[in-house]
Amino acid sequence: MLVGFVDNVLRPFWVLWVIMIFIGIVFYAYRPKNKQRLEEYGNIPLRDDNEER
Amino acid sequence: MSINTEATPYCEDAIKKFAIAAVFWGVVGFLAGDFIALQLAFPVLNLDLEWTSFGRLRPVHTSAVIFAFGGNVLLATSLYIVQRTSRASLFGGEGLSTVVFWGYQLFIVMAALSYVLGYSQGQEYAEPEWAIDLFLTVVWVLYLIVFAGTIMKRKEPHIYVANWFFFAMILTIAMLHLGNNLAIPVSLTKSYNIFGGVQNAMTQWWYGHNAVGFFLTAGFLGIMYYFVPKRAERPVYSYRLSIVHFWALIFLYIWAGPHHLHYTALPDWAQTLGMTFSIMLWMPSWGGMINGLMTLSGAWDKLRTDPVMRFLVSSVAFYGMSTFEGPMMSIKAVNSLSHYTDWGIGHVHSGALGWVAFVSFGALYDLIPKLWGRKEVYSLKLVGVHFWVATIGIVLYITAMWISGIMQGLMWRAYDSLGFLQYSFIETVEAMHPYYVIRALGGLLFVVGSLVMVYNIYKTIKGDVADEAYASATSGAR
Repeated sequence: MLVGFVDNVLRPFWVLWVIMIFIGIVFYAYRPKNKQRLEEYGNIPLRDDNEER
Repeated sequence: MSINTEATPYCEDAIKKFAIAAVFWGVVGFLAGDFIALQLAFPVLNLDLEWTSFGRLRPVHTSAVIFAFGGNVLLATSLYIVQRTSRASLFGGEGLSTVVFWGYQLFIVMAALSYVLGYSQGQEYAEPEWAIDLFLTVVWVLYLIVFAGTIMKRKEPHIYVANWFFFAMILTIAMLHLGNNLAIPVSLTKSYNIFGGVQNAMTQWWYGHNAVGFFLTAGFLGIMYYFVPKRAERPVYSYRLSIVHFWALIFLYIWAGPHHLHYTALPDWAQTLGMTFSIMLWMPSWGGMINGLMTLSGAWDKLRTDPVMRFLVSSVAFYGMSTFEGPMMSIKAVNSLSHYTDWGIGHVHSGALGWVAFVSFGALYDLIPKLWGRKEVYSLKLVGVHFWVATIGIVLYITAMWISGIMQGLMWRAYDSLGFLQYSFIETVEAMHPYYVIRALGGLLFVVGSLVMVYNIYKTIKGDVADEAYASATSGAR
């Protein structure tokens, strides 16, 4: 059953699944709701505990 | 380095060792490269000795620059960055990372000795025999444990994008190393790869191209995503673009290998697949380049005032240039001219010298003063000297190889009116001689630049300051 599903559905259309995952990632990254939170992560390297300010 | 009371105690002993090893192996690898470049121009330099013949020294050069120089840079920077962006000390502490250090250096020495003595399994960029491969596997898994363990104990909730690139590098290199080195040993020093014929070739280039994609690209992009923002003192241009950049690179790179096997016994559909994915790589490559360069918007003056920034930014520009050239060369029609010629070697070096080495120099010039608690390198002026000498060297190298390679390709395909080949092979070799000399000269400049770096770094570690006024005026407290 699982083997049949993998062989008949998952494998033949693998490109489609990968593209769908990728489009999902792009959607997640550029969703306006996530903008502020994601861009804030860019400051992580600039916050270093051990450095003189 | 002044430390506030809540600061994380970073483990830096092994990182210092990795940084010094990177500089040392860099010079060794560049020297080996220039020596074999001179051998191609003047064959007498093979010295009539088996140990110093081009065939044995060439893997010494490639492994020294990729795995010894590049590898030590990646180990130093990844362990440096993962602690700072996770706000956690290394998993396994000083002990485990020091074991990784000595294990990795032992691997390098064993590999180089085995090449010189004539042992090789014949897989390009994966020449070491099976026992050395197994040893490296153990060291690499220890590295994975240190890196992943540090991420798991992080205090920063989000895993910064540089660490994603390093993680992808570590995991993919492990997979490639195990896949390409599957072999049946017949003695301690001899084994046979389990794949034969075109399967072997395809496995080799699945490994070879992804060594470029994940070792020399993903890993060094991790360096870019930390040191460019750090040095520019501003966050990366678009963090969201960096997420898309990462995943696009991961999804596409793994399929590009077959472009090394155009017009061979590899099935046509596989060649076309490799070409198609290579062309698609234009998008993430240029997305990443734009992300790196635009980080400087509003701080472009640093390009003029800070030679370390100049190294970092030029490296990203070279990255853009060589990732434009690469997909173009993967197009079958272009490849029919460029393949097997010096154009390929020129392309590799615009990426390896311009992108990988320059981003490494930038990172080393930034992290070495910090590791030894110095404000800045001994002399920023000497960083500028290194930059220009090395840049002129690269320009000589790649322009010589473009001319030589395209000429070589055109001569190979030239027919006379009766349908015979117009040139014999040796005539193409003679025609390339002047360009081989120019290439060796470019390489020599690159070596000289790296020696300037050695002096500068030696003085930095010693604690000397050459041009304090200049240094403090341009960079401030960092």
